[in-house]
Amino acid sequence: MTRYILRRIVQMIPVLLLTTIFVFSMLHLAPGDPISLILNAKNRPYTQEDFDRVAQQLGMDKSLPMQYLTWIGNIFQGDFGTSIFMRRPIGPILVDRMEATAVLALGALIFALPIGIGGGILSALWRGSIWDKLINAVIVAGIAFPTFALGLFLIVLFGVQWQVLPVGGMTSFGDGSLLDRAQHLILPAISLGVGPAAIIARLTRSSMLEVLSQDYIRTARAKGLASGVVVRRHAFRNVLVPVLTVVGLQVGFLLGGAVLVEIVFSWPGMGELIVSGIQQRDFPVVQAGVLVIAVIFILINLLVDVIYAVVDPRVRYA
Amino acid sequence: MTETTQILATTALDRRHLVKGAAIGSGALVAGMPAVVHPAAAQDATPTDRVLEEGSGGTLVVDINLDPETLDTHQTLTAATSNVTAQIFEGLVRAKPGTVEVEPALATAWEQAADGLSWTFTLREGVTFHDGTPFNAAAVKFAYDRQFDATNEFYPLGQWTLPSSFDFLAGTEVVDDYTVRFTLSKTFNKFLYRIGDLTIVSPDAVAKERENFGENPVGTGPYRFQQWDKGQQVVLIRNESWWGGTPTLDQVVFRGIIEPGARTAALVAGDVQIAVQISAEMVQQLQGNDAYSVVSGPTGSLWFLAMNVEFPAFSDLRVRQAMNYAIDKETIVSAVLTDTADIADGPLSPAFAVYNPTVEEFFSYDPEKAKALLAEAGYKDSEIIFRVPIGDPNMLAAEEMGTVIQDNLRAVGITTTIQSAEAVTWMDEIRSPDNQLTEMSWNIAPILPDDMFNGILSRASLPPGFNTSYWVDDEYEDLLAIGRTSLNEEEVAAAYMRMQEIVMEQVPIVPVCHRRSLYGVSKTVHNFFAEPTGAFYLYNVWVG
Repeated sequence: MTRYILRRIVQMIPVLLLTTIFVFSMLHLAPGDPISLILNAKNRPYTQEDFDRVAQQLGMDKSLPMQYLTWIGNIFQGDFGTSIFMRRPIGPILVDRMEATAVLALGALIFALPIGIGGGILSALWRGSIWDKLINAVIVAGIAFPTFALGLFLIVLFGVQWQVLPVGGMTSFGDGSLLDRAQHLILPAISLGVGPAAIIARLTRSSMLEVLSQDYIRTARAKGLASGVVVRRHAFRNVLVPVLTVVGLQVGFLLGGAVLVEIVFSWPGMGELIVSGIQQRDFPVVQAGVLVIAVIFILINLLVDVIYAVVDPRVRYA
Repeated sequence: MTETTQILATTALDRRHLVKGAAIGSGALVAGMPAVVHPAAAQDATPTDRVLEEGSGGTLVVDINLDPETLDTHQTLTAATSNVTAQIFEGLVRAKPGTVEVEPALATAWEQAADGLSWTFTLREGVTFHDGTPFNAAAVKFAYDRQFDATNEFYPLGQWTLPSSFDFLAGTEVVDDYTVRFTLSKTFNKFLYRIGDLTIVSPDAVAKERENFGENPVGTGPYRFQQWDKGQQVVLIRNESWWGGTPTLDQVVFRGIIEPGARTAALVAGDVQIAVQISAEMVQQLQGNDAYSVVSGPTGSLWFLAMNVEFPAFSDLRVRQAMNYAIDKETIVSAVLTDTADIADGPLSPAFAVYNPTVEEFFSYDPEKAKALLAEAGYKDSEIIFRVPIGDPNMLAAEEMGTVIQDNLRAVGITTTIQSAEAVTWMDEIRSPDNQLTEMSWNIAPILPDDMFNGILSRASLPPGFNTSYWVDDEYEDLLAIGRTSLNEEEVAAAYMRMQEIVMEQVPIVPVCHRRSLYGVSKTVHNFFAEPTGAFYLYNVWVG
């Protein structure tokens, strides 16, 4: 097991290198650069000398491969560089932002897991009934409804019409209590969690139906066990295996979806940082942000694989 | 028609009448009761017209549309951030409220040498920075050196990003504790207007904080920095020892909400009392809501079409004139922008002191005339690439406006293909020689015509600058130089008057509209005015 984990970690390196090369090229080859943006800020004409001077300051006068090597070399030394726009070291900025995104993603999971798994199991147990159909309708709506629109809809309803929940931000000004933070988290977590909840529910339902048709379930029932005991003891654990995989994948979705939710709710997380970084052509920030998200995504996938083995002893890794 | 649109549609003269009416009305009110002054009504008022409502206190939350990148006034890059730093830092002079005229701030008096090559400022005595250190001539010299002297220790983190725009400055010297002299390398008649941009920072704090100064800014302004929760809010508190008196607000909080829907929601839910630079769409959403008003003011901005005169179709003057006759600006301004902008007849907006009204006589919406001119020019229709940006708030409703313009042009027989691109990409594309036709805007305060003329239509601003029309004219260039260096006010004014005519005679551009500055403001906010400089002052504002 340890060897397996180590091997997976070593395998991460080429994947991450390719990711960084890809992001680096995308940013630098696309039109627009931070130099012009900085010079344009004064709304006055600038000369080629101005341009060259700023380029030199940013290290952008060197060739692209050279710039990449310098950057990646610094990363290996734990130096994420300095934001062109904010003129601050990126490391601490990322830590702050990651924390906010983690809170949001966790909130979304806390919302999505019980609803997704619970809804899926109930709909499988009530298969064919009106409840099953209703849950299915909600699932389809949950998958189809765009995160962005849902966020705005919730803001208008709860924040503006009924004024029961804050419309954005992570804390109220001058208040950082747990209750205040929780109130700010509810709407963004729901907006972000609805999609994954629906997907988890759908998968739990089909997984449950499959397990329920297995021979060992029939045997358990034949022994005369109560239906609740059959579901809890014999079916549930086996249902969890495929569901876990999808939850792992959904964490990746949560990080992606967080970008939209963070913009709508002014949530100071990674997504918001990367989007404004792209708009401002703050290359080092975008590169570092994407790298961190890629690392997290890969690590979570690894973690899921490990948990897999724990939940289902039949799974062994060579 | 709602109150908001009515006010937006009224002329500057009417607005002044409204304010006077309000002033008379307020006299009859019981003391202590807030006078009913519709803020929008006061937008173009001169200071004497402004009625300040008695009161103070409160926390004001301002949505500036973007989290600040830094609070170091010497390093700010966005207009959003300037809204914050303008409360913390001050220059030697500032714009008199309600005007673009210069009035004393950290300097009380100044004198220009007879040869125009030096300026001597007498500084205000007894002013202290927020950290308690004294403001004096050494601090002024420090602010200058940090930005322009490459040998200064703090230059790497304070340099002015565009030294060529301050190339008239040669140096600065401390005459005595409260006298400072600037030397110029060439005469520059707008020196006083520019020197206000040189904001003064606490030398002590810069030396102590170094690269962290942007997170712990120290200036002399009416509000001082308290805290910054990154990505969330910047909090300023009242500077009790401000030289201009006691500022009214207890606290000012700046938040940067990006998404337009969320901006409206935060305002309507009462989380935010002022939203800056709101879109025409937000204006519509706020209409009919009694708790809010839209405060607006004129600007020096120009939204226009740039035609590349080196592109064969536009090399013919008659085609460019036809373009100017073909566009229905009135529909664009009223239907697309819901009157959040004024129709543009020339390059300068009427808010400029040197606005030349004769520009109004050049063109009007006349598709028949456009068709006739095209026929005369033997115009052969071929698809012109028309570049339109996406997601740049400075470009207003760029896509909708582009569609109307495309339609207008099609009606006279000019076919265009719209090519949309994200703002930064677009900005790169339009500065390539292949650019044929593009939307553009130039956003400045109505103070220095040079900023407009030199910014978009001069030899100096040929790409990589923003003269995307590739238009250069010798007479115009000579006048541009006069406008910049002549010390004779009349000669300068005459030069700018003539330049407006030259632009309209040769029409390298189609002026479309002058945007207005637009703020969504809660009725609980008092004494808030949109300044013609595009900024706003908060030292008289209170919430209650």
